[in-house]
Amino acid sequence: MNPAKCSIKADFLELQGRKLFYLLLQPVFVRAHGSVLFLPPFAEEMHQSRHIIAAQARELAALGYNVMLFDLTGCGDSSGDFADATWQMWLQDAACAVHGLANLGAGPLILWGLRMGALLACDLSQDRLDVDKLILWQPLLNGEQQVDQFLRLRTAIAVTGKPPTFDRKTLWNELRSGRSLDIAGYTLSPALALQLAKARLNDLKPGCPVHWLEIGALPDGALSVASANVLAHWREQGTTVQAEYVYGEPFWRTINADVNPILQRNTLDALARP
Amino acid sequence: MDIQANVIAFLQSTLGVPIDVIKAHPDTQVLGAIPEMDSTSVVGILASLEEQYGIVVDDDEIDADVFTTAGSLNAFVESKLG
Repeated sequence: MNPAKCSIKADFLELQGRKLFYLLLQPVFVRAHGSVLFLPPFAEEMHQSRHIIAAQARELAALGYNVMLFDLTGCGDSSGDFADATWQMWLQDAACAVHGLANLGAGPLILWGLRMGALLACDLSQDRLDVDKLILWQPLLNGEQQVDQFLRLRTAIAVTGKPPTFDRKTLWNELRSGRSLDIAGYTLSPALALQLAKARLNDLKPGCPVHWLEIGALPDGALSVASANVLAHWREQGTTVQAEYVYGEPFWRTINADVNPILQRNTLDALARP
Repeated sequence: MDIQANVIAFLQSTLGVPIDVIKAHPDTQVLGAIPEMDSTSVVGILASLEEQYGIVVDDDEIDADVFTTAGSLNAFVESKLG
């Protein structure tokens, strides 16, 4: 792919005194016929996956989409501290980015979310009529699992030799009693952890059709049972859902993962479908 | 549901090692035998298993023995699925 097929602009969106950093990728040789807003995953997963997301964004832009990548409050190059961020704040950030991208006025608006970003996308789409499709990559089924796995970064050291000095139950109790935790270079506030822990895909009703792409480690694998349950629930409540399994690395938790060409192509196909 | 194949595949993909480093055999040594296997990898592999099988692994359920071989990790997942 030739990077010159898209232009890249970096700027900030302003929201209630916060400055949200964004990159806007736009086609150079063709007219934009769609808009894609990427919603990022949580903490380290954002960093691990950044090059994969950038590659997909360039590809989409070259093919005629305006693509916006932005950093949530307290993350990346946006203003604020991670310690002060809340789930509500991140939903507001995403709504602000939707507004910014929609103002450019190029075709249908698609939210593309990875992991926690998929949860944000579903939550955001519930109350909006201006979102036409959700593309969900390896959706996080519930925020509690994300927080729990994040807490494990502090406790897993015990497995590799050192005696355990605390466990996750203790850490959850710290959060519930209003204390922040320092984990892997992040200060996790009780407000963010407890709000995120309450967010569940099963409790949401996406406001538009959904295309679900799940990535697994087996060449002939299938969607996990837990994912299939969420999809069945959504179908019952009338949401149009397409889901597919793609073989590949868990690039959101792998250093220097390779771009997955099948995931790239299936994403393009999903976007192109009416 | 081939748990052993999934366990091997999660080890390979999370550790980012060539396929021949983690042979598809229960006796394949993992913790202590593969330098890439550290606490971060443990977190990644447990996360993958939790998401794939809808299980929750508590801190007091895991110790170094669980990660000694591909077979011991497989046995652990099977015990979780009851």
